[in-house]
Amino acid sequence: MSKPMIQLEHINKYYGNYHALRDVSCEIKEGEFFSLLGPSGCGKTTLLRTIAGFETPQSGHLAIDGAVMDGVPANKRPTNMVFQSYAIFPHMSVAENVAYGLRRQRMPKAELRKRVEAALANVGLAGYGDRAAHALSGGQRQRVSLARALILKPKVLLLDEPLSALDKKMRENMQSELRHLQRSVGITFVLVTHDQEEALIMSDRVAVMFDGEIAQLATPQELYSRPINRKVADFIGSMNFLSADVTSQSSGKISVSIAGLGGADLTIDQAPAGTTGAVCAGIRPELMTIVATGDAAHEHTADGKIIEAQYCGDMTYYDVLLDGTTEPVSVSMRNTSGRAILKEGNTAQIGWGSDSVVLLPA
Amino acid sequence: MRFGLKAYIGLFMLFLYAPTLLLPVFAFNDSTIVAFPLSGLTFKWMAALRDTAALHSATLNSLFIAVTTATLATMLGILAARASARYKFPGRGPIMGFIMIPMALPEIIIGVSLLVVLLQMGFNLSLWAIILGHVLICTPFAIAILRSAFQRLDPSMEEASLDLGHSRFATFMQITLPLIMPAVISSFLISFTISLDEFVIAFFLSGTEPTLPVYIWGQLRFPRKIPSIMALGTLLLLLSLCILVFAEYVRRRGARKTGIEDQGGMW
Repeated sequence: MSKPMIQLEHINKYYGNYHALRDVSCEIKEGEFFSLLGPSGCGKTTLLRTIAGFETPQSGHLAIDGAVMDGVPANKRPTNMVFQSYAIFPHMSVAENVAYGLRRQRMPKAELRKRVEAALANVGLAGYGDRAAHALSGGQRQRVSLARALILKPKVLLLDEPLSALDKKMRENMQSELRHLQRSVGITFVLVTHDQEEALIMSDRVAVMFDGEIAQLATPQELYSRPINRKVADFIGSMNFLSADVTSQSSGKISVSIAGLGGADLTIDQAPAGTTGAVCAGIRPELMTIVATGDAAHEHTADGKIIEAQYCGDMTYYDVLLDGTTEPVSVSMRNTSGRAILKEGNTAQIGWGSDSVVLLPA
Repeated sequence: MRFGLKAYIGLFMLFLYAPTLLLPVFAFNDSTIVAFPLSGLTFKWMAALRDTAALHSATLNSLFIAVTTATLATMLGILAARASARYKFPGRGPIMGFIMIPMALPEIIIGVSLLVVLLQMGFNLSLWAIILGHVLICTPFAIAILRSAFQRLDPSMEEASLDLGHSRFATFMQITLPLIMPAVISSFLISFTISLDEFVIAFFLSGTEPTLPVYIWGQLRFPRKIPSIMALGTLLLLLSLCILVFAEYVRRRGARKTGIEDQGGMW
């Protein structure tokens, strides 16, 4: 798990004057499920296509399993790709599609048929071999595309927004199926997605990209609870940003005063290195609680007024204006039994813990 | 108003097709004079076609020219269409524009200028000279048909084939060509048809070997030959209908096979 499978070193890619990839360096480990996450136009697909060999960077190097890929064309690389459009060949049957990559290897018909059938069974399409490719549904095309790539036993499977064309239900099914498939075949998967939830659910590690650069590379938990800056924090889920001041700093401890919430003592890993003075405190809506009578005591509390309440069945989303602030914060509460749904205009006490706070550059 | 429109359409159709429909009528009419009333059924004009050696050689010339032209124009068309649909290169607009111009250029200009240039360069006029001229006017049509096929083709089809380990050439043969095949056939048939009945360039460049239209033009000087020209016209009409039906069949089959939504035919 620790051996690097893909090494990217100082990759730069320009389209004319447009700098699509800005000095991208990272390592993708063997057997990991790695995601490139970012808004459209951030360079994530360009990076994936660079790994596949469809784009040639102007500078920088790329190695797959230790072998440098400079000048190696796409058809000679140990990678296979699942395209966003699936690119199922419409003039071939399902079995012919899946067998396409094996055509160059001369093998007995019976052996070929066995391998194709096994590959189809692997993605839950046993017995679909004789169907015409164009008669398949979106989800089935996706599976054929997976089987067609995996039958070649690539070192790396590249997935370009593979779930974006599916409806919500199908997408959720495929997310867990892809995860299981990745664990069972043990191949390194690199996924491109703009859907932060998808990246968090499926990946071992996620690289968040903005404007051709990797902003943060971390595990899903780290990314969610310790985003590196406001941009990342805002892209992954939602977060409240409050102005804060560092009041004192000693070894391992950092004391801050947060607007509307008050003072708190944080550990040093909740703050970027060398933080002093005015910063920004981030706290997720679900990590704050509207205190009800009979609740266990909270580490910190703050008072405010509810200015908007949105009831959504399992959850209620509140906008709360904390005393002494001008911008409301979002607080989301699960609607458990016995908990009252509060109305606009009610005063409320907010409970929070200092471990929920992350300090970000202002 | 309704009636007026219907009458207009009726007259239009009559004007369009009535002269053509007279061809088969007089092709089997037992008289050398092309006029009503009809004087009886005969197959002698058809038989005359069978027995005229000059006609056979003109037909063979035309078929040779049309097949060669269609093949060359389609091959050149594939190359140019793919380049213009897939790649951005400096001067793409002007280059494609100049390639497409012969579509609108009067054929007489092409005919005369080719004649002058070929003679000046010391070449003899031959079927190949006509083929040269025909390729020039057919290639733009081939490009127009093929370019839209390449534009409809998902670029990731070719990338997927490369990604699965195949070379560029194998990808072209196994993926690209089969997927654009309906357009290739359309392009071939259109070029074939244009070349087959092209007169002006053929007339200028034919030398001693006339093509079918040039031969027909020559025969019109002899009024007695007119009924057999009618018979010949009837056969050409049948051939055109067959080509049209075949082209439409290929297009629909292609659309059905690849599941692409029917986007309306050439015709």
